Amino acid sequence: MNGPTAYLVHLLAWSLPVLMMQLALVGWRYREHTTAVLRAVLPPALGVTAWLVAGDHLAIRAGIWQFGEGKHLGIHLGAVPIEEALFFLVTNLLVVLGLALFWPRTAEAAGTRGGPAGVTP
Amino acid sequence: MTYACFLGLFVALPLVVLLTLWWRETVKRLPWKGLVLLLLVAYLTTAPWDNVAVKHGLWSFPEGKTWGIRLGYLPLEEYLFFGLQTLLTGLLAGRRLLRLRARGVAA
Repeated sequence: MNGPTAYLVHLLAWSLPVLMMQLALVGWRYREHTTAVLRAVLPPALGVTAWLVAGDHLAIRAGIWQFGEGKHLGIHLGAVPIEEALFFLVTNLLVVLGLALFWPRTAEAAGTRGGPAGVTP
Repeated sequence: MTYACFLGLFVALPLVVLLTLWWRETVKRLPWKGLVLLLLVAYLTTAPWDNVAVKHGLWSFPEGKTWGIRLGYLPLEEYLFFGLQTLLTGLLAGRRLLRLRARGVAA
């Protein structure tokens, strides 16, 4: 893993296939409600991403973690490498789409009575 | 600032505040089985990926900023981060999915 695209490739190779699959499954499960579901879950993903990028900026300034020399593009948001911001975006998207897919199908199942965490449509 | 301070300030603190504020309305109504499943998937997928990245030097965690407990190539704090981030983002998104269902959308 070398060169300025090392971090980006490592991130996208891992996450993009899963994200694409999740999006397809969300569309397949929610049908005409897909837009409503995405409008519900995307703002939290974007909000937490912005929050964590701000925190990451301070963490990097404090030297909590460091990035391998020559292994990222060299584009920064403050102190944050662009790949790192993309990492937060991607992982938050994986979380919210995963949650939508693991969301139980009936209102009863979401309550205290329990029920199957339906992943099947 | 240490890694633990970052975790506390930016992830654990907002999570605890939201869990407290939204206890009745959201937390008790969330489908926790789904969230636990999600946590499991998050750990199984992120842990190997992050270990490989650190092994190849994409990023590193200098001594002195962490507790010094390492599992594989990662400090213990990094594993806590995966779980806490999943819970924080999951809580915010879950609250909106509950509202969507309350409005009668078959989510």
